[in-house]
Parts: sequence; C-alpha cells; structure tokens
Amino acid sequence: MPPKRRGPLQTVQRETDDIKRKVDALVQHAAEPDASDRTETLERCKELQRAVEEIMKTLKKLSKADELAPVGNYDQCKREEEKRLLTLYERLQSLAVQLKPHDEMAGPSSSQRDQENEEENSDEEDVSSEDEDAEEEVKDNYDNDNDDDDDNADSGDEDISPTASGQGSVSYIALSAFKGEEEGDLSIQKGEGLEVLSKNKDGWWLAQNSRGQTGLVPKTFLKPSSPQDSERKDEDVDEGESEEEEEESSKTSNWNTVRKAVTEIDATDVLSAMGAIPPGFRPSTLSRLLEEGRSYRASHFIQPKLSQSQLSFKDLHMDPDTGKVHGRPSRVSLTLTLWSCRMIPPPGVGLQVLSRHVRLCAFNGTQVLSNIHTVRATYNSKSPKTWSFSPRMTGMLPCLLDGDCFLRCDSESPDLGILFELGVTYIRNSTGERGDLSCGWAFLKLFDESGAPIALRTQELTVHGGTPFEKDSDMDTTSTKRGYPTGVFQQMLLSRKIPKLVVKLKSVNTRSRELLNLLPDTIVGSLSTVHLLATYRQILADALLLDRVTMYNADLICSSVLASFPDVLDQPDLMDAFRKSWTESESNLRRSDKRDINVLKQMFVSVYMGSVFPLLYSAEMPAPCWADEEVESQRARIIYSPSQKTSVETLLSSQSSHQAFDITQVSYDLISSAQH
Amino acid sequence: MSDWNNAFLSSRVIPPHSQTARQAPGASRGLQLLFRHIDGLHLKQSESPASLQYQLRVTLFDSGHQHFFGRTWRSGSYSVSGMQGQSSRVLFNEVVYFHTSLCLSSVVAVVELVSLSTRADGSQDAVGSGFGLLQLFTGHADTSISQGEGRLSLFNGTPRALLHPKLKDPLQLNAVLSVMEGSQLLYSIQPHPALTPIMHLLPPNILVSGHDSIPGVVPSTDTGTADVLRKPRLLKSFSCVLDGLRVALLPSVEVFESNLLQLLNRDCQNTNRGVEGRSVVVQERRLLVGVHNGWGWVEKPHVLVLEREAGGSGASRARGASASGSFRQTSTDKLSDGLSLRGSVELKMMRDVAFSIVFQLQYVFSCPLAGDGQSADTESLAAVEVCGKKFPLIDQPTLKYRVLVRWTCTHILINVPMEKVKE
Repeated sequence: MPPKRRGPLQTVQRETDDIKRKVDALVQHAAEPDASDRTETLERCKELQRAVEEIMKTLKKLSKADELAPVGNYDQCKREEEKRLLTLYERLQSLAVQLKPHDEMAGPSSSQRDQENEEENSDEEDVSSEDEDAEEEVKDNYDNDNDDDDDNADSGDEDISPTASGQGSVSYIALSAFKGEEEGDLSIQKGEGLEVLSKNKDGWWLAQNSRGQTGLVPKTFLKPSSPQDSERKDEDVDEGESEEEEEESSKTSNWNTVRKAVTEIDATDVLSAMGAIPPGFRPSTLSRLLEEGRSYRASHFIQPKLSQSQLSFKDLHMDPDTGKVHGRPSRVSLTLTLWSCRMIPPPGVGLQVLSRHVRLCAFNGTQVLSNIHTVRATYNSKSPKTWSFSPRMTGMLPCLLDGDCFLRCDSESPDLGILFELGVTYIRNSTGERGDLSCGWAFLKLFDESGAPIALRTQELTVHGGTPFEKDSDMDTTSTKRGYPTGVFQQMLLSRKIPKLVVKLKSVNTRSRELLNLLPDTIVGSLSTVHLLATYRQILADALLLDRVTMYNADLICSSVLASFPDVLDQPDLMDAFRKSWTESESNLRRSDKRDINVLKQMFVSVYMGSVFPLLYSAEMPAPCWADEEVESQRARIIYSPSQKTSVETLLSSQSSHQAFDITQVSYDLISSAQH
Repeated sequence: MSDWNNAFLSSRVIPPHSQTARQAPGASRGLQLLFRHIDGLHLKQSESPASLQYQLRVTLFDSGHQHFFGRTWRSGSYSVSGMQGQSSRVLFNEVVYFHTSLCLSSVVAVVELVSLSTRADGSQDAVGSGFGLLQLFTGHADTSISQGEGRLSLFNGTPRALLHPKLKDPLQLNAVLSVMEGSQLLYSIQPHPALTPIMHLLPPNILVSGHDSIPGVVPSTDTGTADVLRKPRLLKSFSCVLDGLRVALLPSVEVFESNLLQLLNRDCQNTNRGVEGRSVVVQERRLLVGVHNGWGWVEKPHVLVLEREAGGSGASRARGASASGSFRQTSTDKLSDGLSLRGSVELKMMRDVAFSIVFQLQYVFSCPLAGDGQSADTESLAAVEVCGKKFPLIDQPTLKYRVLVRWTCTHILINVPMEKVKE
C-alpha cells in the first residue's frame, strides 16, 4: 500500500508537533540543575528557533489551493498552527535568554561569583600591567584624573545643589571600561548607556545598566548623554578615543588608588587634589631625560667641548702667559637661590613620597639646553603644601639640599630661560613600585622681548601643570582654570591656591664671576661646588692643552682624576665628602696659597685621591640609587665612617675592600669624553 | 663594523710616559711571564671556597711617573685547589707575552689578585684581594731582563693607590705598603726572542696570552689550548702595488678646503691665536698609506704628497716623504678636480681579514704669526681618516669606493663623503 499522501498543512502540523516535543525535552534538560553544557543547549535552542522560523515561512506561503483534498476548516487550522508555532518560538526565545546570562547578563548570584573572579584577575593584572610600564600607568592615571577634572566643573555644581543628587535617573554614557573590583561595583563597557540612580558624594555613583543590573561606578567614567550636552560629549568622546589605548592596557590597575583617594578626601575640598595624582601632575619629563644616559648629566657638561672643526676646543683655552684657564663669559652666567614652593598639591594617599625636589635646567621652550640639576626640598608635615630649601643644619649643608645654584648657558635662543620642574619620587604602598612625578613646572625667561636680560631680583613664578612641552593644550590644570569659573567665591579660592615657586636671582660678585667663567659655557650646578669645578677645569686644561704632544694627538691619558671626577659629579654625596675634605685641607693652607692655582691643583689631586677615589671604587659602597633612603644612609655610613681617612691609607688597608683594578678606570679618553 | 674597526677601537691603549720613552730608545725585546700559582691564601670565614673564583690581572706601571700604560691583561678564572691547614692555593699556570723597549727598573708589572663572585642578579663582582709589584728589569745594561723563578709578595689594598700623589717617592711607598702574610705568587720571567719576528704585528707594551689572536700570526690549528706565541709563525706575505691613487673630495676639493679653512679660522679667532684679517692657508696635502692590522701599522706608513689636478700642469714632481716609498713618474692627463698621487705605492699584505690598507689624508696649514707677519707658523694637522679595506684587493683591478671620511684629531667625527679611485 502506497503511503498515504498528506496535504502540506498536515505536514506542517506534524513538523510542529515534532518540534514541540523537542522543545519540551530541551526545556526540561535546561531546567536540570547540572546542565553542564549550556552552550550546547543554547546551540540546540537556536537550531530549533531556526526550524520554527522555517516552518512559519512555509506555513505562510500555503493556501487552500495547495491541498490535495479539500480541507473543511482550512483557515482556522492554519491560524491555529501559526499560533502554536509562535508560542513555541517564544518559549525558545525565553529559553535562549535564560541560557545566555552566564556569559553576558547574570542574575545576582552569578554576578557576584563573577566579580570575585574578576577581583582575583584584576589583582594579577595589577601586578603584570604595572610591571610592564609604570610610566604609562602614571600617565594613564593622569588621564583618568583629567576626566575627573573635567567633571569637576559640572559635577561640582551637581554636588553642591541638592536637586541634582538623587534626582532620579539620568542617562549617562560610559567613557571607558571599568571592571568592578569589589562587591557592589558594576562592571561597564566603554560606550555603554547607563542610568544613574543616585550620586554619592564620594564619587561613586549608583548606576543601572540596560540589563537591569545595578552597582557602583566611579563617576569619572561617566558622561551625561542628554542632548544639550551633546556638543561637549563629542569632544569628550574624541578625548576618550585617543586615550583608549592607554586605558585598555591597564584598565583596572590604578583604580584601587584612585578609589582610596576619592573616598578619603573630604568631598568639600573639591578644588584640591582629587585622586591619587592631582590634575596637572605628569610623569616627570626631566627625570626621564636624566635616566636616559649621560647626555643631561653634569658629568657630560663638565667635559670640554670640541669646536665645529673638531680640531680644537670650543670652551677650554689657556692663557699662554700665565698657564691658567682662560675665563670665558657666557651669555648667561648667574646664581640663583631656590626659596620656597607654595600650594603644591600633595599626591594622594596611596603613594608614599620619597623625595620632593626641584630639577632645573636651561630651556628654550622646546629643548633642554644644559644638564639637569636637582635640589631636594625640605618638607614639614605640618604644612604639607609648602616646600623649602637649604635647611639650617650644623656642619656642612649637603649640596643636594642646597638651594644656591649657578647657571651658565651660551645658547643664542631669544627664549632662553630656566625651567624648574617640581617633582616627587614616590613609592606605591600597595605594590612597592617607584616612580617620578612632576607636580608642575615653572619657566623663567631670562631675556625680555627686546633681548635685554631681566632684572636680577626675587621672582615669584606660577607653577603650571602638565609638561613644559604641552604648549598648545591648556596646561593650567593645577589652577583649575579649565571649564568655566562658576562663581566669585570659587575664583577667590582659586587665586589663593595657585601654586608658586619663589626664586631669588642674584648678581654675582667679582670673585665668583671669575670662578664661574672658568667653567664650561653651559652647565648648571650647586654653588657650593664651583671652586672645585674651577680647579678641575684647570687640571683638565693642563692635561689637554699643555701635556699633549700635539694638538692632534688623541691618545688615551692616564689620569685617575680626569677619568673619574665626572662620575663623582653625578653623585652628590661623594661631592659632599670631597667638599668636606677640601675644606679641612684648605684651612691648613696659608692665605697666599689659597689663591695659588698650582697649590690648589696639587691639593685637589691629593684630596681627591684620598677621600673620594677610594669610595668610588669601594666594593662595599652600594651603587647610588636616587631617593632610596636605605642606600643613601648606607653610603653615608661608609663615607663618614671613622675608618675612612682622607689619606692614602684607605687605599692600602686590609680593612676596606676595593673593586678590582683595571686600567680603564684611570684612562681618560678625549674622543669619547669630549662633547661633539 | 668591520673586523679591522673593532680591532682598532679595542687596541687603543695608554702609551708609555713620553719621558720614559725618551730614556729608552733601544730596540724592543720580547718577554715571557709565567704565573704558576698563589700560595698561602687566607680565605675569610664568610667566603665559601667552592664558589670563589680567582683571577690575575696584570698592568704595566711606570713608577717613576706614576703612570699606568698598555692595557690590563686578565687571566682566566680559577677556583681554589688544595687546602693546607688555614691557607689555600690557586693554580694559574698562565703565560703572558709582550715586548717592550722600556727596559728600565722603574717599569714594573702590577699583578693584582682578584676574587670573582657572582652576585644575586647574575652580574659578576670583581674584588681586589691584594696586589704585587713585579720587577721586570734589573736596570743593568747587558742583562736588563730579570730572569728565572721568583716569589712575589702581595700587599693589601688596591693598585689604584699607586697613583696617589703622596706615593711618588718609592721610600714613601714602602712605608705604607703592608704585606699580606703568607700569600705569595710563584712566577717565572725570561726573555722571549721568538717574539722578535712578529714584533711589527703586535705593538709594544701590550700583554697578550698565547691564545689571543694577532692578525698576521698563523693561528693555532687546535682550538683553545694551544699557545701560538711560544713559537709564533708569520702568515705568508705578498706585495701589492697601488697605482694611480686619486682622492676626490665631495662636492669638490675647493669647497671641501674652503669649508675646512673657514672652520679653522673660526678656531683661531676663538682661541685668539689668529690675527685679524689674516687667515690660515693650506700648505700641503699629504696622504698617509699603510697596512694596518688593527693593532697597529704593520710597517711604517708611506707619507706621500698629493697634488692638485688642475689644468694639466703635470710639471710638478711627486715628492715622497717616506723613505720606503717607491715612485715612478707617470703622466696623468685625465683631468678632473681631485687630488692625485704621482706614482705607485708598494705594500706588503697578508691574507688575514683584519689586514687593511689605511689611508689618511693630512693637511698642513700655515698660519701667519702676529707681528711683522713675515714668518709663517706651520702646523700640521691630520684631517680625515682611515678607511679600512677588505683584503682581496688584488682580485679587483679597479677599485672605486666611497668612504665616509671623518676628520680628526679623532676617529669618529664629521662625515664628509670622499671618493677614492684606483685605476
């Protein structure tokens, strides 16, 4: 018997029955607690959905004419069939939604679990991403804070007016991704739309996402999406995009710090620091240059400079009659005293400050023209925003703390001036990671518009945020001029809170001028070392201009002083040891000898070889490490230990241990040392 | 960088003190130093002998002028072998060769015992453990080299102390040196005439081991251990002739020289040596040609006067400043702007990658003196440098190469393109 032929509608009915059975089974399967392979289930669910759609299409195409045999209530049957399919489809839809959430949306229980996972992850990420690039992170940090600052302008209003807070839901857009770190945080994606339910003053807002989840997010991650703000939003989005890369790389790592800072600072003090790193702080430009190598260190600038022909020296000449170094006036040759800094915002709570310092150098707006000299600031915890210099102390003031500096520069640039960068070296409490931040910078132009030098007097310089190279952008973030000034009161507050650096420029007396003119044309340093540098230049000139067989001889020179003094110059604590021994020896000199360059030269070599040279190659001395208190004190213990005598005995005693000798330690290479 | 360049840069050493060099004008003599072992080493409690390695470092020192010279020779590293009670011994058995003409009693070898240990970060820590002053020469004319075995006492401290101005006087030195009790280095010293044939390949006062490679000396066929300097043999040499040398300066000789003079005049003004309105003029252009093996000139380089190729005036004669330069008058009539050398240069080459023909273009300037201006102060100046050339020169009949000329007193200066043509 041939199989009974069915009408198309009947076929559809049967198929629908089939699918219904399958869907029932699937729903049952999904409801089981140990439904391990959700993805598979989901896959099947989708498959069935497609099948239903397929049947639906076929069904819609059917007409009564297609039937082999007349069907009585054809239309009704078809409608019923459609209904059945529709319900099936809906069931599948809801099932699919049920199956999905573990990846994308979640019920409360699962989301908590996820967050715990994320917390673990983020800890790991913390470590790895910080290791990767501390600098980037700091920058990143700043970027985020910059947003923060942006918001301050408007959120300041919101915080103050009670109508704004808890006003019911306002829609916002996430500026960047944020991964919840603690229970109650809401993880958001960049560009995601959010409803803010309430605005807490601590900067963490309660927000709800499109899936109905609620949680806290940092307000700095959000931008209002209301139409009247669209113009601003566009700007911000642009900004956000440019920052995207950096933010992606260390998405979560610095938020612990920011959170701490944000929650612990009094919310009324909106104008002062907000976040771990106040707005306007940047990774230190000058520290980075210093670390790059020798090219911005005093050890490089103390070297003689070759003339353009490369056949003679540009700035080291000898008077043929007296045999003394020919004094050379430089375009700028002055002394200055760092006096104080006011209203310098302290970095946030997560950071422990190891050193506050001012780095200064000659600068023409685009280029660092001299070595970078560092003076460490003295700081009193009672007035945390004030830095001072040259503390009073018994005994010799270390040149690192000495605010008296000299600066020489021969650049012809009309914009020549002194760049001061206020910086902190910090260590992160949580990770132990160290870094250098610039808390702002000040530039003192040394020539006015007509090219005349400025008056030598006390200068009160405004400290700007950002880096000295950011001319085009509004760099005045520290003084919060960004955004719109919102009231007289606020402006008043602002003007009093503008960070300042006070510097005293002084005219130089004849004796100091003579000494300064013996130095290279361009160099910055501590005034307390000028006499040593001048004597060194004389020794250098003797070796290079008198003792060389011909001026075109480039043989290596055996001289411990020439070979190693530049290294000492980069280590302020060794320079202090040198100055101390020098002062002691100088006090034994007769008055007439104190001006006799030949006596001074001999004394220089003798004192140097007795006091500093052994230390430089001592096996016990740890290598210098900037702002590392332990290393610094360890070095000081060795430098000032009673067994350390300023004589040859240190070099020959069995007590002290020395690095092995190699002739390169006492070789002075004219070619590689000289500045080209 | 080429082999030659590397060798050249690493072979820059401090020359002996000029006064000492003047005192000893005699011929160079070869020496062989053998360091056997150190006895009676007192190890500190904290140091575990197993991890400790020892090394010897030897540097020549001129005690008369407080002057280290040459380079520091370093032995391999050896661990302590054999404990005898409290003290221990380190076996070295390393041989050092060098040759010097400074057979003066003031010239000594400073031998430092160095203990090597590896720091936690993997870098090596080299700490001095005492040094000795090894007397190389007796000071007598005929038997100037000390001979035979000897024991050297070690002193506490570091050899850097020898540069201290207070220790210029040897008596003073003896007063402050303290001997490390019991520690002695067993060494032997003897003349090494076998070094004489290769002296032109190895500059004086350079301490080398038997396994150091000296371009031009037949390298050891075995790997590592063999001592080629015990009986050194020379590679085969052959003659080659450089003919029709021409130096083209870019963009042209005129521009090159006027730039050079401009800079020199600026120097003169800067140093206040020059007189207003008068300026430096070029007196002579010379070309220094020689074979260099990275360590030094293999033979004395030829110094040849270059002539301006201008308008076919072939009348001026090429003058050879060097005794060994051989010249033939040739008629060059292909005229373009450049500096040319009349004649050819014969050079002795060896088949070694580090062998190079080095050219140095020299300018002699004269600068009018202040005052009546009748006399001229001549100063010579080596502008321009060295171009190392790869060996298989003979296979290429025509060489045309562009070198980056750097002018000097140094070796690493301005880049001026220059072209040299061998036709």
